[in-house]
Amino acid sequence: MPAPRRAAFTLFEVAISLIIVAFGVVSIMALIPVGLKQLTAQRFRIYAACVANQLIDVYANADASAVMIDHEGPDPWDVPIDRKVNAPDLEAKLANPRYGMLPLPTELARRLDSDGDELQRLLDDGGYVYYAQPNVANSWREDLLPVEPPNDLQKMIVGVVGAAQHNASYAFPMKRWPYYATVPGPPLHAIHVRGSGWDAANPNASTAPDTRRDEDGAMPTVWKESKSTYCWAACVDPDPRLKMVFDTFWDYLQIRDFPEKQSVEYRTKLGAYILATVAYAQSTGLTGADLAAAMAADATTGVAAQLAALTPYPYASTAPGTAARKVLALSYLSNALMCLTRWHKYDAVTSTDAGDRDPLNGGVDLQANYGITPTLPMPRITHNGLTNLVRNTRYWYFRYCAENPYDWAVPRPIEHACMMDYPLLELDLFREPASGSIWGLSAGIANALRPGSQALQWRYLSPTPVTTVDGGPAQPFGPSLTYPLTTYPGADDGNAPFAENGPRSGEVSHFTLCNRFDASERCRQLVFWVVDWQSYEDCETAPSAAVDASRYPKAAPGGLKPDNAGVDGRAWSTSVAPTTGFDDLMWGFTDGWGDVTGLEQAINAAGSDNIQLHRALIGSYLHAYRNPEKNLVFTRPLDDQPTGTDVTAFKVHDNPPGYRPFTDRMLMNNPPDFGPPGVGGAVQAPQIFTGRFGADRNGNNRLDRGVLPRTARLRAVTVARFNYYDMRVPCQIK
Amino acid sequence: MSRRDPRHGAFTLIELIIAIALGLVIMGVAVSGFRVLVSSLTVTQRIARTNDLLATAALAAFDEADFWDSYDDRGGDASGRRLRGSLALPVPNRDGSTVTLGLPFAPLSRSVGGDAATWPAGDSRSWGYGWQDDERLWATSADNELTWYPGIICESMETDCRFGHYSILGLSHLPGESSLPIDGGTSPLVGGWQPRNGGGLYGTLTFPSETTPPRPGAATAAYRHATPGWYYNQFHGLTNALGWYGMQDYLPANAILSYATKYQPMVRATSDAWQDSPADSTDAAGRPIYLIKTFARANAAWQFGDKPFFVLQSYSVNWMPHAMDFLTSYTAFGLTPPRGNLYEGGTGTTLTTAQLAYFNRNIVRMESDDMPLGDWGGNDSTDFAEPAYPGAADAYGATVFNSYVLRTTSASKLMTLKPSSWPDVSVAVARYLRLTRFSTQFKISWTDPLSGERADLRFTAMGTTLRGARRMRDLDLPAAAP
Repeated sequence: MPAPRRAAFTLFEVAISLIIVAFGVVSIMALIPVGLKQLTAQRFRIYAACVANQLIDVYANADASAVMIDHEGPDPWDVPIDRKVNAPDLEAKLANPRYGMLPLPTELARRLDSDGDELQRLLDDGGYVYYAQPNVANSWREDLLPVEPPNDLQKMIVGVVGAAQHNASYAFPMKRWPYYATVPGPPLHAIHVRGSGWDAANPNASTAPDTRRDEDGAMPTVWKESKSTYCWAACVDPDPRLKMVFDTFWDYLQIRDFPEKQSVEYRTKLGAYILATVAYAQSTGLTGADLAAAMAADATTGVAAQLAALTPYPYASTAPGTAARKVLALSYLSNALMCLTRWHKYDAVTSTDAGDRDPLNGGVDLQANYGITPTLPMPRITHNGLTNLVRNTRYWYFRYCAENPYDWAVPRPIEHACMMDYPLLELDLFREPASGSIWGLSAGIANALRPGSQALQWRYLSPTPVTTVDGGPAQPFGPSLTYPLTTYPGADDGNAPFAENGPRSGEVSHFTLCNRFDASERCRQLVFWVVDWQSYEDCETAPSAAVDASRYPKAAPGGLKPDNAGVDGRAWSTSVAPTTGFDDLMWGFTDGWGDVTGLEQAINAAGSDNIQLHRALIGSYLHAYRNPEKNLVFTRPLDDQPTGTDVTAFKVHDNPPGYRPFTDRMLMNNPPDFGPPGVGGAVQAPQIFTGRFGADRNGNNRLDRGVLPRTARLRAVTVARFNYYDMRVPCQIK
Repeated sequence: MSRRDPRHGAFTLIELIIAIALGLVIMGVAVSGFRVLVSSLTVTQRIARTNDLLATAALAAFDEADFWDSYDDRGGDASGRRLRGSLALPVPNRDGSTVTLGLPFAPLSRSVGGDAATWPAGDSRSWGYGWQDDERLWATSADNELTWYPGIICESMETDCRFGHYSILGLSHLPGESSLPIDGGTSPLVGGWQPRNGGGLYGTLTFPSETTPPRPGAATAAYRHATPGWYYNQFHGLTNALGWYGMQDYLPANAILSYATKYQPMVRATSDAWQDSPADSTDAAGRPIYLIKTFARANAAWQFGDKPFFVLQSYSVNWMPHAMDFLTSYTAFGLTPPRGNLYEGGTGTTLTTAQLAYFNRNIVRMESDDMPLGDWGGNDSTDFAEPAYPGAADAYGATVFNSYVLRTTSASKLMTLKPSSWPDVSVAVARYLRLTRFSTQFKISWTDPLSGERADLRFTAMGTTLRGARRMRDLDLPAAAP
């Protein structure tokens, strides 16, 4: 009987089996990191979806108008208003501390690999990649937000791929139209620096319009000495009767005390104001019959009804220049006559002073009550007549503006502001640019591309001619609020700021904003990557990414500057002086409200004299300008500081708990991130401005250093892409 | 002597030892690998679960952006719809009628009392006031002259009306009010920011009985003459009906946010004690002070001195009526959720209707000292009509700001019945109007109970407006006749 076979696995077989099993186990284990990686990517895709929503939300909805810098310069290159910083591009609108996209330092970004080298190609094209600001403000004041613990959201970086379109201009930098005025109202007047800045050709000249009026004696000294009011409308329309309107308005405005109001003073001054407005109305061609008709009935019949019936308003067939003066005259006249309602009762005679005052329900006789005989026959002024006049004036004024959107002499009505008030302008990239010198720079600094010129500027395209009351072809856009005494080059001047002031006969216009377009032309893409850039040893000490020059909020020539802005450690000055050179324009600002020159504030500092400070120096009012990392940047090199150092004292902008802005506000810019170079070897303001020393990028007020050396490279993993509509026109959705 | 049969051979001891050793090594590797595998799977599972919850939270946030259920819960119980309520103020109107303040989701067709318009249910007048269904677009259309501001904004709150009583062109009055005086007063003893000489008496205007406004597109002149306060009625009525956030949501973007009504002087207890004045104080032109001063600086006494008034081009532009852009550059308007907020203790806390009405009229001023970082930055106003102004004991800046944010933030946990080992995930939402932007802000927070990992994801999202949310709920439609 044969012995049973007692075969078994050989050791070799077992070994082979074990190898196979081990291989399987290792393979399975190798999948774990892949799975983890996928899960991490999934996490970041969720982040990306949320962040993309926010970016588009802010891009579409955030305010597009709050630009608190000078808006008008002698030449288009003098103020950074119509430049990249204000372009309606997503990255331009969001790359600031208010809306939370901060450029990743170029030094760091250049160490990052990505699929198809997309990230590096974006940088090669002049773009940036952005990381999320630690405390995304989202319309809140960023300085009030609490410091949050860092999270991995900062590992996600985002770039915008696809070329930006050629955008509409944000504003015309020599005259930021539209100007707004009340209707009815007096001739448009404005605050201006008292002693300079009237003429763009010579901003330091002291010659002022003869409507200049100095400030009230009760005002603070510095304010009183540096400011004045002038009548812009009188610079547009040289008719002496318009100046008379302003003069008499001003006299009436200046009546101060109650006893005087009860005296004949008001009557004399109001009478003069009414007389002047009637005289101006007459000069525009209005007749007594016109005025009587305007008071007789409310011609407002409803816009929709007007359109349906195509009912013209009275000046529909009048030459625009003439119609402009008529509606302005009606606005002034209505403003003057409405003053009667202050001094005349509706249904009772008022006779507390000498002379009787007629009630308005029966009508006021101007001659009997004011001793004036207007140059046009005027009916008795009644309550109903006044209400009709004001309503008709408004209606006709609005209609004029609607029909003449590019008339830059008639201020738009503040009561009816609308998007059509804003002109559509764009730059002509296919014609020779305008060129010239830069104010305040010495000769010899010429542009390499155009010898002899310091500055070049694409010229503007307007879809329809910009006009002014008496401008004509010589001054297509008329005097600006900032430089009202300037004579600007004509539209046909080869160096004029407009390449096309309306389409030219026989030429194909270069204006494209109203052209049809394909959806793909408006498409750009957000790309999100994930990379742990904070693991670099210099993640916080690397300099900020290069700051676009348009982000430097330079002032316009002709204004004032503080004698000292505290840049060299001295206290803030309480006195001011005219700007005389280019460097002065870097100190601060001359313009508070954006359309007239004048130091913004004279503020009482506790226990001291007035100080001069412009709100443009405050980041929260100038969020779009300066280095996007400006609230995080270090003010000195930190190479000598160990990792983990509290950097609160080394940041430009940091408000510790309990911070009292009013009394402690000097901390805001001490040292400042603006102004001329420092003195005595001190850190220079431009170094701070450009983020030369790095920034507290995770906002934890500690100096962080990663473990990776600068020589290492990291791979950025693409996690999401989103297409979006790229706007060409600055706008905001309500 | 036995001879080993090779067919019956076995491992030698050394082979066995080697095999056992190898086996142990392999088992060790396998066990440790298995442990790593299990651990990794656990981590993976945890991350995956957290991711799922985050995705759910993100979807919930986007859903909230669109549907506003944290403010008016369509599918929940009545506690989630308490912003449809209204509050009768203890202080009556001048005419003795009850002032009723609607919350942001109060139906417009419900009578909302006030100094101006109401929208009576089932009344013919409920059509034509602008906010009903088919006239909505027309009512906010910029080419509807009824929406044009009839006043003059170039005079500051210190005006002595020397440029006239523009309230003759538009005067907010009660629906049944047939006459109203236009009287800016003459007493020098008015508020510190008022002209010392008042604005003078004009007279009493009478109003014809009200009629139904013309249909959209029809001629409006006659109606406007008969009802000169249409714009003001809408404005004032909306403010009462929906609060400031809702009012600004409904009105056209270019609306001047002011109106004129009966003069109500401020009280001058001390030189600057305007905060002692009644809530409905007006300037001499009859314009509510709270719509002007609310957004002005607090410490500006030096600036007026004996200067009687300013006009538009003066630097005191913030003492005049404004549009949304200027108002929201200084001030943030928020909504308080109906089911509690983080300030009052988070979810589940029940606020009274009075508190909801009170808090939904809160604003926070970002700066009020004319310095961007003003003394009173973040001052929290907590009055129904006129915001309180800061006193010496008030908190400053970030403290008040943060409490305001918490008060206006609603937070809800996802999956409260989840296993305890699952992460805690919550979604917080807050809605503000700030810098002309209606902003819906979200914060997704999660805490892992095992690792202790805590993180936040903050973002904003585009969504439906308040008006759209009300439209979803048919809150603007006229109520059925009782």
